[in-house]
Amino acid sequence: MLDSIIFWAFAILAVGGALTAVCSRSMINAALSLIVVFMSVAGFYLLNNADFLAIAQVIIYVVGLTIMMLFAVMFTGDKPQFDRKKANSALSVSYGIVALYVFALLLRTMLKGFGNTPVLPVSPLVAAPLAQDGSTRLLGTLLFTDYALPFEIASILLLAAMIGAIVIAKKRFNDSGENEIGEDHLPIDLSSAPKEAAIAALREHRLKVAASSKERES
Amino acid sequence: MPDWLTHIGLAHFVVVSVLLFVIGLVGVLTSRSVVRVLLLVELMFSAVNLNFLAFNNYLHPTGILLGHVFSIFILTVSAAEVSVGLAIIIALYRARATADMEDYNLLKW
Repeated sequence: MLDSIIFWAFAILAVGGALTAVCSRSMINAALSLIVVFMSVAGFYLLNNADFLAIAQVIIYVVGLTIMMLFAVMFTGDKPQFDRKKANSALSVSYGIVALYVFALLLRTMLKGFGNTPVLPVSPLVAAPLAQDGSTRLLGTLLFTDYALPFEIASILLLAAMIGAIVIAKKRFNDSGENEIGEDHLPIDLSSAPKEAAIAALREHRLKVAASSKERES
Repeated sequence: MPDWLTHIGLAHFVVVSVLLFVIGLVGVLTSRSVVRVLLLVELMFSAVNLNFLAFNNYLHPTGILLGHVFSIFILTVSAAEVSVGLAIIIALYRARATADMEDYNLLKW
């Protein structure tokens, strides 16, 4: 009984938050409502006896990822102009139909394949012996014995991703050693100008740089 | 009270995770902001994770943790993916001065 109440509360929070993230116009609102979704997904993990993964979900998704995304939102702007355009209604109806079809297809496949498997009639919260001991010890043993090789490969993947992210995101310099973006010598002093003027100047400068680099490509 | 309301089975978790996955999919396909697309890809990742854990819990309640191991690797890959994705967003924003997906047409044929 208790776990069903918890489940329904988390389900409402998760689906509502996901819908908000898709539909809301402000990017900050979308990122913050995804925090709600990730937290309730962590709650679902707990209902499935996955205590270690629930905490990992909170640390990685809720804390790490959402903060990174908030940085990205502040970098690219909260309410982008293009999101304000009215959507084509015929197009959104067809999106809805496709979404319903995919939903039905996935659900049918999974429930037909596994839904009839006999499941213990007790609540999952007390079913497993994991409920007393937690899954962390078992999981650590598995990761360092049977899955040691994938574990090491995952660390190489993380290293490669880290180096790749630094290389991609760093500023480019041309042959004479000056910054290609050229933000070192902007036409306007960013520290003293009023905020709107500074943003407009920066944007104009970026557009100019983008246009000139597009010219060079062609 | 109906039985499906008080007894939470495997099907409940499957329905919720498929719902989250489809919402994320529709958002990825329709949204025009790159940041939102990257966020919703993460939503799809955690929906898949939830599926792995629910199946593991209901089909192997005695402590075979295969689904947990899969989830840990999915978590790792998604963390790597989001760091590279954010770097790409920053590089794209420098080059095009916009976050609109429609303007990223350099590879369009």
